[in-house]
Amino acid sequence: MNTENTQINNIKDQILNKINSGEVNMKPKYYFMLKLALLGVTIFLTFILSSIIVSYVLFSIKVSGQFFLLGFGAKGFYHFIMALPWVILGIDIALIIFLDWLLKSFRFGYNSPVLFLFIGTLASITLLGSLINFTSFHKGLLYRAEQKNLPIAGGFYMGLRKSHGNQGIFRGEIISIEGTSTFYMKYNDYDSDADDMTIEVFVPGNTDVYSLSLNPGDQIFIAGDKMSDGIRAYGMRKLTNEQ
Amino acid sequence: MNSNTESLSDEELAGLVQKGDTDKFGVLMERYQAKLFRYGKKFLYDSDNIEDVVQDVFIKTYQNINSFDVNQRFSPWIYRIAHNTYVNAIKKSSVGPMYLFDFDALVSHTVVDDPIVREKEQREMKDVVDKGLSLIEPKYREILVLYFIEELSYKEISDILHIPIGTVGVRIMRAKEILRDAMEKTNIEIPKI
Repeated sequence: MNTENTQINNIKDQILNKINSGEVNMKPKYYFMLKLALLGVTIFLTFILSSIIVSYVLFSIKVSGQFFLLGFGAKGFYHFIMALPWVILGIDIALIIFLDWLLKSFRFGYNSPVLFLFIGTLASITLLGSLINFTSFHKGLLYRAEQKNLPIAGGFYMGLRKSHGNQGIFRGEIISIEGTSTFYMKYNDYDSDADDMTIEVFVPGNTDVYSLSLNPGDQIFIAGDKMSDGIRAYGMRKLTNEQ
Repeated sequence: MNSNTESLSDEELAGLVQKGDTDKFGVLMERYQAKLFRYGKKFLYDSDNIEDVVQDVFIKTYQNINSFDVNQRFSPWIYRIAHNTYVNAIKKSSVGPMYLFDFDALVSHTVVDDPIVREKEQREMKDVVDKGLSLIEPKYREILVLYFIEELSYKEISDILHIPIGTVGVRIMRAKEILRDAMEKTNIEIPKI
């Protein structure tokens, strides 16, 4: 006990000597205020960036017509999942984890169970992301990208209204309707290059083309498999002007 | 320590240190050094440089005292600095991370921190915990030290370890089970815990 008391007094004296000699100094208040401000700005920017990414994913699903896949049965659902921008979603999840880690600096952050904090931030980010989609933010960027007037983020928007044959997603314009089960479609991927071509589309088994109210000139979204003689569709939807 | 200083709370002393009265930091050190020595000795266990580590805790406390909010309690704040310093000391002296992901902090747990039950349990368990601490890993050893040896509440431990209050309760329960198993394996006599 005596040894411990001596140790304790030694430490106290040593530290007070260091303080009085100026060897140990307290950091000024503004240092901590600056640190807190930096933390706040980082949290805000991460939250905004993450929300923009979520809004982009929602926008891309809507504009590409990808959400139609959900109405095309199990095969459509499979292709919907496969066609999601997983790399971008992965980056967003990493950002949310980073955001939660930053929030853990505050009492409400470390007092919340990890899962609840994650769900809370995910819900807030999705809400803000959905609100961003009510504005013309992404629409404006899409139009600028298609006009080749968006140098930095253009790549994210250029492919949205194109066919993605490897994912079983095709978009184009109906050229002519041939009988009750086939029509010809022209790829329209907005880049006017050599891969624009006319291709025959075989409509799903029991579907009559005329029952779909399709007309030449209509823009159409097709989910199907590309064969040597054309596309065998298992789902189709007429596209709106925005899509 | 004069009687005028004795009547001041830790928070008031910290406020005076912030205003430049460095002598009051000596009073704060007197109040906490025995506790931090004990906490460090029990937590670090096999460390032979405990003096240096505790000194490091006080230096960090002084350097960062301006970040302390005098409207909050001083005790969890200085224990938090001690926790971080001790964890770093363990990391330096051992291979691999001390804390991997804590699954107990994933979802919420309902716990009741009844002061009467706590006091009784802390009194009964103190010696038992003391005997078996060296047998268990630091993550569980630390929470037992804070709860049974330092006699802190769930809320204070939550603020020190930065984990939810429910997780504190679950981790203490798990630590007691691990301690019991470890003591059984080494044939140390234990009461019912």
